[in-house]
Amino acid sequence: MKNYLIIMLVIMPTLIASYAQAVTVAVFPVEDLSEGRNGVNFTLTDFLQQNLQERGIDVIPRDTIISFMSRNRIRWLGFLGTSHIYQVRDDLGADFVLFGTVSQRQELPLAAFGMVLTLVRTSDARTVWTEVGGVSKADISNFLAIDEPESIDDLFPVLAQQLLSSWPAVLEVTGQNPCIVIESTRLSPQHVKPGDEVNCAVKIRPPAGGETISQVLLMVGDDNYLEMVEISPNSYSVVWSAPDGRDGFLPVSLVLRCQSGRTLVFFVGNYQIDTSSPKLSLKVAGKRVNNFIAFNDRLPITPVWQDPEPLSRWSLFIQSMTGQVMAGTENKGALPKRFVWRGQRPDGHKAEDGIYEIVLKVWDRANNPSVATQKVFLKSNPPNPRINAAVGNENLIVTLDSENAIPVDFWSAEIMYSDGEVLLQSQGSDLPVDILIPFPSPSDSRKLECFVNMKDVLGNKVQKKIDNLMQLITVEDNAPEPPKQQEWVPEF
Amino acid sequence: MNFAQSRYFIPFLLIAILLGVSSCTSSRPSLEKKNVYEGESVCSVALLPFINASRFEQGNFISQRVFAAELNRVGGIAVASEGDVQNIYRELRIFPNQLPDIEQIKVVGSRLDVQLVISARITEMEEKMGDNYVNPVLALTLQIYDAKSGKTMWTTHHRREGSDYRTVMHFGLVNSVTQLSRIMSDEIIEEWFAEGMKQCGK
Repeated sequence: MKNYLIIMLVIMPTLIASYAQAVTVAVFPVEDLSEGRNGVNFTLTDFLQQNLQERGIDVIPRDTIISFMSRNRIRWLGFLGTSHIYQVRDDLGADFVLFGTVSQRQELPLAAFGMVLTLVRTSDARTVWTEVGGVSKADISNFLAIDEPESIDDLFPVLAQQLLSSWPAVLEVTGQNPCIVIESTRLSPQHVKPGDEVNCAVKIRPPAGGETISQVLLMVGDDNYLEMVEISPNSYSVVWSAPDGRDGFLPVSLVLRCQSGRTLVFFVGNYQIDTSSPKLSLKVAGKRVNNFIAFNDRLPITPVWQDPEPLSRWSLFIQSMTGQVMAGTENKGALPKRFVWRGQRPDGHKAEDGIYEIVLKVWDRANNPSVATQKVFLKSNPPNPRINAAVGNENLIVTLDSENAIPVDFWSAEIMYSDGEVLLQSQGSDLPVDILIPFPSPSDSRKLECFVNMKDVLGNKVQKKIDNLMQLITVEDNAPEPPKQQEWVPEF
Repeated sequence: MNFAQSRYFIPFLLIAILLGVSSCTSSRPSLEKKNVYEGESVCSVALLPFINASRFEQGNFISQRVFAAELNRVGGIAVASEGDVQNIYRELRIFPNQLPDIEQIKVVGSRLDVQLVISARITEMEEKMGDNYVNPVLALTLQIYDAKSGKTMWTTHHRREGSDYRTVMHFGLVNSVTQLSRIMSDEIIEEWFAEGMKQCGK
C-alpha cells in the first residue's frame, strides 16, 4: 500500500503536468529574412518541431501545414491574419501557432544569428508568448577560446536554447471570447454626385461558439441606418442613392447587433458627395496678335486651376475650325502640368496655317465634367516680302513691305552691284519703308542686286534676292492710251 | 587587502568606473508630444508596416517583428496581427511604403479594435566593422496615432550604436542589429511609459 501511494504521488504530478501540456502546436515554416522577403528555413522549422515534441507537445506535421497554406493561399511567412488563425484551429485542430522569423543569419563580417519567436493562441488569436534574441560570435568568448563558436551553425543551438528557455510552463488553451472578424469591406464609389448609387459590401467571420449576430446594418452619416442584405453566407451588401442637397464627406460605419444585445460598430470609411465641377482655364505661351494667341513652331499649353482637385480622367484635343482633330491625348488620373503642341497633324506633317481650338475636358472623381477652350493662330510660313522700285527725282526709291498680317519684327536690305560693291545697307522694324538709292551712273553697266532679310514677331524668317533691281522699276506713263481697234483688220 | 594592493586597486577601480560612466552617457529617445491621449491604459495597438529608408535589406521587417514582440513581452500590449493590417492595406490600396491618411488610420483602428496605431521609419541601419567586432547602428522615428481620431499624438526618434552599451573593454558591446533592435525597442517602450502612457491593467 505504501509503495502504491509513493508510485501514485510520483505519477500524479507527471500526469497533471502532461495534461496541462496536452496542447497541439502548428509550427509554421520559419521565415528567413536573410534569404530575402520570401526566404524560408526548413532546418529551423524542423528543429523547433523536434524541440516542442521533446517537451511533450503535439506538433502538426509540416506537410499538413504546407497543404493548409496552399489551400488558403497564404503567401507570406512569419504571421497570419486573424481569420486564418481561426482557420488553423478549425481545420488543423491546433491550439497554438508558432511563428518564427530569422532576422539575421550571416557569416560575415562576423557570424551572427537573430531570431524572433511568437506563439499565438488560436481560440482568440492572442499572442501568448514571444521572445527575441540575437547572438554574435563576438558575444561568446571563452577562456583560451576553447569551444568558441566558429560559424552560424554553432550559434543557432545557443540562441535557440536561450529563446526556448522562457517557454511557458503552462499554456492556457482557452482565452478570451473570440472576436468577430471583419474579413473585408468595400465602399464604392467613394466620390459621387447627388443621386448616384453607392454600394457597400462586407464579409464577416462570426466566431465559432461566440456571439450570434442578429442584425447587420450600415450607418450612413450620423443617423441613417440601412439594413444590409445577405447575398451569400456571411457576405452582406447594400446599395443606396447619394442624397441631394449635401456636399461633403459622409461617414459610413458597419453596425453589428448581437443577440446578447451588444452592438459593435466598425468604421468603414467616408464617401464624398461632390456637386461642383472642376474650375480651370488654359494658358498658352504664344504671341498676342490681333486678339489671337499666335505661334509658329511649338505651343506650350498650361492648365491653370482656380481650385485644384484630384481628377478621375482628362482629355485634350486640338481641332481646326472645320472640326478636324490635329492632335489629342487622354488619360486617367492627374493632369500633366504642361502640354506642348508642335503645330503638327496626326501624321506628323506640319499643320496648315490658320486658327485652331484647344479643348481640355476634365472629370473629377465624382465624374463632374468641366471644359476649358482656347483659340490659337498657327503661322509657320515665313513672311512674304513685297519689293517695288520706282524712279524718283534724284534717287531710285525701293519700297519694302510684307504681304502677311503678322507684324514684322526685323528687316534688313542690302543693295550692291553684281561684282560685290555694296551700295547701301539698311535695317529696321517698321514696314512699309522707302529706301532711297542714288542713281547709278549711266555708263555703269553693272547690275544692281538686292538682298532682303525679314523676320516676323513669331520668329518666321525669310531671305529674298532680287538679281536685277532695275527690272522692278515701274515707269509712270502719262501719255494717253492709243485707241483700241474697233474692228478686225487684215494685218496686225 | 594590504597597502600595496590597495595602492594599485583604487586607481584601477577609478579608471574602470570612468570608462563605464563615459560609455553609459548615451541619450534617451527623443519624444515630441503633440496631443494628449485621453484614453485609458493602452492594451492594444496596431503596427503599420515599417518603412525602410536605410540601405539594410529587410531592415524594416527585422525592426517591426522585434518591436511587435517587445511591445507584447515588455509592455504587455496586444499587437494586432500583421496579416490583418496587410489585408486592410490591400483593401484601401495603400502601398507598404506609404503612410495612410487620417481616415485610413481610423479604419485600421476601428477594424482591428485597437487604441493606438503606430508607424515607423527606419532612417539608418547598418553594421559597421570594428576592430574584431561589429558595431551595429540603428535610427528610427516612430509616430503614434490615436486610433479613434487618426491624429498624431507622439513622435519618437531614437538612435543608438552597439558601442553605446560598452561597459569596460569589449564588455557590454552589442554586436548585431537584432540585439540592438530589441534593446532600443525596450528603451522606447519604457520611455513611453515614463512619459505618461498607461500600461495595460495599471
